[in-house]
Amino acid sequence: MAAPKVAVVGAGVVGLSTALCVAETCPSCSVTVLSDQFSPNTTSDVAAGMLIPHTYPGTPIHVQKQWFKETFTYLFAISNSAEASEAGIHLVSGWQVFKNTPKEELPFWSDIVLGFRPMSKAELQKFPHHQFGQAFTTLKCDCPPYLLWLEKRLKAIGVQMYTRKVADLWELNSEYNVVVNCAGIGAHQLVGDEKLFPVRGQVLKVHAPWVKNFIRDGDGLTYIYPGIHSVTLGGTREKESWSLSPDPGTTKDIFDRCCSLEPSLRGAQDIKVKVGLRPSRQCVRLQREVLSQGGVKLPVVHNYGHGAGGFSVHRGTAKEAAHLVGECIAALQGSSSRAKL
Amino acid sequence: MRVAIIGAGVIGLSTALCIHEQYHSLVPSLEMEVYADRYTPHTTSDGAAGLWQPYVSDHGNLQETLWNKETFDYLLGHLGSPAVKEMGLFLISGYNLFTQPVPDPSWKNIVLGFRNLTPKELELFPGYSYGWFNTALMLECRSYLPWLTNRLTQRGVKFFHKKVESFQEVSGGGVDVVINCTGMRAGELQPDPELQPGRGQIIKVLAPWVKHFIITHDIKSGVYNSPYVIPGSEFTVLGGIYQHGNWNEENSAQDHKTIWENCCRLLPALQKAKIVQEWSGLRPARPRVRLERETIRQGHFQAEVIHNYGHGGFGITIHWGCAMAAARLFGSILQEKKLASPPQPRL
Repeated sequence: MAAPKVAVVGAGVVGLSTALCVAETCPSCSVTVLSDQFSPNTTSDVAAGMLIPHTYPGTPIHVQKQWFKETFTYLFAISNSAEASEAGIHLVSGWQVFKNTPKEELPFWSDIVLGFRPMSKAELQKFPHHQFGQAFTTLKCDCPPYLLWLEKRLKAIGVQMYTRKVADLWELNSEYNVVVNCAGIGAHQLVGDEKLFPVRGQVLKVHAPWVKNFIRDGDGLTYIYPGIHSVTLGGTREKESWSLSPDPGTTKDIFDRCCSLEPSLRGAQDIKVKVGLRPSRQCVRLQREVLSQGGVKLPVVHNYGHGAGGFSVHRGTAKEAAHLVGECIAALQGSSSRAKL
Repeated sequence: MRVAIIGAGVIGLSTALCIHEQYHSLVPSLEMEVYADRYTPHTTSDGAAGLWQPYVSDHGNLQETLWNKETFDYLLGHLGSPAVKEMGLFLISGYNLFTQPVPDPSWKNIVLGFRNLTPKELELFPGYSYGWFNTALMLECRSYLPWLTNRLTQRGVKFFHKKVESFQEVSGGGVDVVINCTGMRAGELQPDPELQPGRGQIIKVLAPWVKHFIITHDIKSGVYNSPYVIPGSEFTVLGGIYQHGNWNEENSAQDHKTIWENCCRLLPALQKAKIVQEWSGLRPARPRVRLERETIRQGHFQAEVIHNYGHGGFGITIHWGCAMAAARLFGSILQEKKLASPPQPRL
């Protein structure tokens, strides 16, 4: 098969990074990204892009750790290069604080981030309502810059991108040999995955450039993440809520919770409210599937359901998805050469 | 009782505020005036990035270490105050980098979360094999000096835009105590061969993705002669120049090149940063801070002078501890003049 045609559905962080990995590992492939939304209108654009992993109950920890490690290593190299500012990748240090000492004092990712250690008493004095904390340095992927940088890399290697709402993966069968499903929350409708559910997150993006450190409550609900041009204040975790409309009561609640962690935020300006639906699942769906209709087969690689942890594992899952695409192509080439005999 | 402060940099204004806060209720007749030929944003303090960090070695000067600590604790205590943004005060974390292991600094327990760098962190900084990480404070004088000025104005302190040529000029007019916070130009009021300029030059850039300070050290070149990057609330300051004895306040093209090349080598992404401003200033360097009383006599006139100058490249770092020490000296002057009752012992 000359130039296998691969379609990647979805242009958030998972779709774009998967397209890039596929194009990198299969130079003879023709890769196309199809999505109804591109940056700045994807779920990824709402996220702060912090590399602090979410734990998937249904995925073995060693797999999650490998995904995170690959992603961290990849971004670490970019943050250290001349492209860092264009790619929107930067290091940020800060604290994760707990009102009560957590059962697990050492998360699985503690040796991957930089300088992880418990907070000192003096550091904890800044958080009178919290008893325990962890200090570390990690990476942040600012969006839109990171997505725009990925799009630029893709264009440079000849990957085409089209705005198109794909209603059914099967409709791509006549134009493409392999389809990669990175539709995020869209997979609920696209492939009818009942195990995929939204976890609604509302955030504020504010101008507070004096905030240089991140602060995160260990409960995952309240966080302050300083980005390049704005600070993301969060948040909410509303399971099964599909509403993309900002809620004013929630805005006030988020602001108050964040000001309680960082009083200087009272002086924040230019408050913008955003909502994203985390594409949540017990485990990331990262697997091959073969769709067939009337004797015609369409190999599909699914890579969706990253929930709250998309940025943290995107590169690791993208590489695994690219590997699965390679397997699909090999299988197609195997069966086509068999057909030739 | 008239008090004149000469100098309106961080030292002058903070000393004025400290004294006024402590003594205005004890001395109802207290009248305070500030004299300076340069006010914010044209003082030496305005050029500083504003990072709280003493020199790596304290040369056994425990007094200064204590003043540094008092300043840090004072500022830390203000972090929760509503004035914090107006003051230009915020926490910041960052790196100190060395080419060989060094002893821990005197201030390791003053700052927050002091630790050595891990091997993976050192990968970020090729050429450096040892370092520290800690969280410290930034106090931006372009906000802090106006904030101090506002507090002083509210208290009725008067400001005069004037170059004072002698102590007598001020004391002759009926001023009882003169506080000498003239920084680099103290030698013009009273010769002091120990006070020498430590010329610095900085480039201010727009690099909002930089969230940490990075200070490199080269034992051979000496303090501040090695590149540093300090992100402020709006601009990032690039520096790394310390020229002892150089009085030139003009920007040097050679120094610009040194700073730019060294900082871009340290942080490659800086190559894309937009340059906004360039500035040179003279650190008022002295083997130790001059913080002491002196009685100046000329003919019939006698004035009490409190000297508070010579803070080198650590003026912001040490300012409040020195202001408090100057206030104590002021208290002793008041006692001698029997203008304030001594503190009553608690029964």
